[in-house]
Amino acid sequence: MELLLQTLVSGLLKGGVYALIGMGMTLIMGVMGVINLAHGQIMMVAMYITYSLFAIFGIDPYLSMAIGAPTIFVLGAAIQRYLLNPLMRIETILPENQVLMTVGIGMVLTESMRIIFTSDYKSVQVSYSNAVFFLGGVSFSMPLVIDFFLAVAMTCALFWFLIRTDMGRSIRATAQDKEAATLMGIDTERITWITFGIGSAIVAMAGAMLLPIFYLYPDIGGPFTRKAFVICILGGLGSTVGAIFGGITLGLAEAFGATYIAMEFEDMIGLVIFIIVLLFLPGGFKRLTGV
Amino acid sequence: MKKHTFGIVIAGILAVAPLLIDNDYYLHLMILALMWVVIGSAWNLLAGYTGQVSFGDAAFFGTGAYTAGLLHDHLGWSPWWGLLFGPITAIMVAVPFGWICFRLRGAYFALATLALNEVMRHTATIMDGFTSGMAGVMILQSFTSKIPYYYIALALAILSVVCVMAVMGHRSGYYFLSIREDQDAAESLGIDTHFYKMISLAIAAGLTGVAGALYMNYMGFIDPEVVFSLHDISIMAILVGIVGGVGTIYGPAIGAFVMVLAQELFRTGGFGVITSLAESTGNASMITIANNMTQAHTLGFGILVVLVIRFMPNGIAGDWEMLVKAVTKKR
Amino acid sequence: MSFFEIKKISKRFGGVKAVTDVSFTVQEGEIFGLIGPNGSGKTTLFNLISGFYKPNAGSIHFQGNRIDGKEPHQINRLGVARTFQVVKPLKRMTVLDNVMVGAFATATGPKEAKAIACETLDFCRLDHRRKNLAGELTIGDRKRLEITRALATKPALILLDETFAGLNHAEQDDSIKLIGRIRDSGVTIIIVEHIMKVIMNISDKVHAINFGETMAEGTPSKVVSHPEVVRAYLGEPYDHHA
Repeated sequence: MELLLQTLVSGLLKGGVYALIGMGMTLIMGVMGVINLAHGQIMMVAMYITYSLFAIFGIDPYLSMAIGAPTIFVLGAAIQRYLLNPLMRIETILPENQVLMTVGIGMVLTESMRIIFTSDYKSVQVSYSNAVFFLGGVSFSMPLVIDFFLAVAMTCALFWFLIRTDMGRSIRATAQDKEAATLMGIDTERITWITFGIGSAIVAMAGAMLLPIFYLYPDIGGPFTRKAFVICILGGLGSTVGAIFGGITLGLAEAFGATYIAMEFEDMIGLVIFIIVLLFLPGGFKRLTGV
Repeated sequence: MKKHTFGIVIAGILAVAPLLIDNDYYLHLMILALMWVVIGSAWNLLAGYTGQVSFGDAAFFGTGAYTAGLLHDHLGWSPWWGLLFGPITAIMVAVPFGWICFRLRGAYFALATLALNEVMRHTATIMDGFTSGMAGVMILQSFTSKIPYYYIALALAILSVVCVMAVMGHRSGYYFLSIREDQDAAESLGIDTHFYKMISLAIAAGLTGVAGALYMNYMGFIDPEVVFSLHDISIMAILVGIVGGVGTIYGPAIGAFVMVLAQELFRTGGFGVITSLAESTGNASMITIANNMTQAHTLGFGILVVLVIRFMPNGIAGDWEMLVKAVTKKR
Repeated sequence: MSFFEIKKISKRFGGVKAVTDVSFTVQEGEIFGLIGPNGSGKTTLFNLISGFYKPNAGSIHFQGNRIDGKEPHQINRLGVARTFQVVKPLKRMTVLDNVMVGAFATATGPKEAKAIACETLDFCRLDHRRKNLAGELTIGDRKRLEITRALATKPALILLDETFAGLNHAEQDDSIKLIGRIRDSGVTIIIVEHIMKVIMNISDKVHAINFGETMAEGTPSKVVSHPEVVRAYLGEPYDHHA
């Protein structure tokens, strides 16, 4: 019983951060209709920025988000503006050219980080990295609890932004119908790179949150890209609400898989979920809830 | 016959090439390039002609390679049987996979192939009782000379180009193109798009499986990281397809030679030119470049992906046809 | 047993009723006009007949086969072809190849498909464009290609969805002649059309719908003078000389 509760708690807490990662991707998916396969790699770059700020200046990872997130916003916006948007104007046979481009960008990011930081494992040890508190026999990892609440706060902020601000409305309009949005006088091209920037900044914050818990190395991006797209598929492509459910489901599934099946299957579980969703729930949670 | 002249001439040149090139290193590169002709043609049939972009060709390549290796390991059969059974197992992986994924439109197929690639790699790693896991599979090569491998690879390359050409000249070829252009229109014209997408996938998977089996026989060693590699196989397959020319018969063949050359350039640091320059001049920055160049060949590869898609999305053969058309407009 | 029959068919999208309890019968050799204001459910009906949508209730029968619930490609093979209101040319294929894709429905090989395609292109007066890429055609030619391609599958019934929209007067006259030739060749036609001149001139029978429900059915002149149709659709009585 305790083991079950423990698994539930750690899965749920991790799921909160996963939801954030998924929302970053699904936001981009919604507006551009493109799966960003460099998502995890962008997060990895953000983690290296956080790591450097910590290693050189001793800035706490949570505080350095204030520097990391805007930097990554610029990186993401530049990728969309100078590498992805020009592709829309070129007549090609393959519809997936933009997706392919993100794969190439992911490779460049990974290898650039490898050249600068080598393949060695890095970690950020802050005073609370291993802090734990107990509640009724169940242990709560301090950083994960902080992450979870930060993720919830960030999600609320994102929804407020999307629903209440003009920019947020323009983003939603572009996601719903690009042509109509253009006719309404929205500069959709500008919206695309702003959205890519926001999506990247969100995942950058998620990366900073994960740094006190995870080891950092250049290849960490790939697995997180895969997690992100599994979350999006689970939630329904382009659905922000779906991404929350998708993230928590993946967090729980991974935790239960690692506890009750075997540790080495953790990475496989996301992929198995992916196939199950394709088989039994094509369209993801979005299809059930309609949001 | 006239429209095949180009192919026949190239095939003829390739057939006599080993008589002129008496160098194992160059022959090795040519064998690899010929193997990539097979994979590129297969990818092109599915992506370029049918419009279903695969990001996970390594799944079929690796399956073919492991079939050849494991037939030898477990049953003691000659790994050459892999050329027959490799495609069969690759198709056995591809068909149920396609049946599931082709029900959905859009980016799902591309994502699912990526996932399949990873599932296969994990499976080959985890099931170490059956596949020897990370230790890999080793066989004794049949020939010490490169020449036999060269001609086998050449035969397979010609076979795959001819196979794609034949398919595209017949009913299924027209159907593949119509699916690429507009799936609803194709359905309305009585085409079972789900079925024909699976046919295209099965042919592509089969050819890719053959290439995998050839790789096992030629290299004598495989492990999950090599044959199920996302970058070195799946992305390379896409590049071969795009660089040469998407949706053209000879494009993948051109792409294969260009890309194998490019890959080798990155891997060896400009065929060792930079290294020897660094050694002879003793220039400190040259030495750093030389050291990083070989280390960072994946970076070069990634930059190439970005540049190709940004500036040459239709590839050499694709843009060539456009150029020719611009000149000979209004026949 | 009638040639083609729809029995009390309904289709909902979520809570929105697109088509409710529509029934009609089409006789072999007829030109059957389907009219109604924008968004009245005409294209939804076509999508139901051709299998792109599955009905929530009711049934569709064609030459003794129940075809509702079948896949679009199966329905085409049974002899029901369609065109799309928003044309769907196979852009990077030539006009000939476009039509050949349809012709493979009955052809045994590429040679025969090519022969059928050329014959159909001649029939539709589009043969002078056969080497052009479909993406290069004008809107008039694209509409015509849409019909040619559908005819190449050798249907017994063809559904024409707003074939006249966007055509100039000369092209409209050509298309009216083409539809006459199609009927003379023995193909039954259901046509959705906005342009009243066309419907009045060529239809044997007209079925009018609004908000997904039947308003009236009968000869063209009877339907256009039906008070409900006049109110909902025309706004004012239809003048035969307009």
